[in-house]
Amino acid sequence: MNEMLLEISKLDFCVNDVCLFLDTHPCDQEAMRYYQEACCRLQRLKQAFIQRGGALTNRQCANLNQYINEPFPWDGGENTCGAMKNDCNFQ
Amino acid sequence: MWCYEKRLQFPINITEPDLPTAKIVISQLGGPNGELGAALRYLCQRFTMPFPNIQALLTDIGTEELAHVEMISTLFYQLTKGACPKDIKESGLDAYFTDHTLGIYPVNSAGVPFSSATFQSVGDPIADLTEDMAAEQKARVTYDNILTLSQNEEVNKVITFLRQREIVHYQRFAEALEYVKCHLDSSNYYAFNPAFQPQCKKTCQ
Repeated sequence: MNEMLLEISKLDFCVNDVCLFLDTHPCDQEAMRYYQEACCRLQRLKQAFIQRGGALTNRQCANLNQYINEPFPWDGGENTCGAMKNDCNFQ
Repeated sequence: MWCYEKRLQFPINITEPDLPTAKIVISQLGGPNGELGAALRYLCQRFTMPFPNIQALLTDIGTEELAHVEMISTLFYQLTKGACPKDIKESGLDAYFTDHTLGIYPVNSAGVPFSSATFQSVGDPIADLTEDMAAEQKARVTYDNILTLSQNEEVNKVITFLRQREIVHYQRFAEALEYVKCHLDSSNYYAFNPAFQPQCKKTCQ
């Protein structure tokens, strides 16, 4: 799951960056193709993430309690790894 | 409207407290060249920007800056987590600790609280976009200065990423300024402000 979220972050970065480029280069066909491909892959990956029980937002997740109770990213949530990971378990 | 995703734009994993670094990093939260000011600047300016694609650019970059606010806050949070009172005192973070404990509060590296007086929104596309270009360069310089002072590799990886984003945003704003100028009278860009077209009633005249 951790690696999957890192892949989502990488792909979302690609989409974000090419969106900025397309804001000022709306006619660049190559950038538009890149955007469509990256968007498509990002959507597929997010769908797979949700199907495996991942909770990225509270608008689209299989289990809302998981979104609520999993640590936030600054507290060693999915997108960080290592020492901070279990450092905030208050149960 | 915004939608929060429960992840950081770039992974952050600080394994040990480092208070001197925390003290300088927080300037990019509440300082004059920081991410909070950047987010507010672009998200305020976009309303009167007269071109939809430049409104999109200001919205997209403003939104990314909000993610950077979260990243800088995470850096400070993780760099101070578990710090002992003796270290807090010796590092000079004691003044911050007195007022905020280890809560996240937007100040610059000298402890001066965030102020919207550090940015402008003047309702003129040329002036606003020129300010945005300068803002990105000033943020880049602040990141350069943090990299000069910090020997913390876990922090520097993140700062290097953020510094790179300033350069990309600067480039996009420069293109936006060119786009705006192309839609104005090239013999006098300042003859007419496309963001201000008064519609006076007869009684005003």
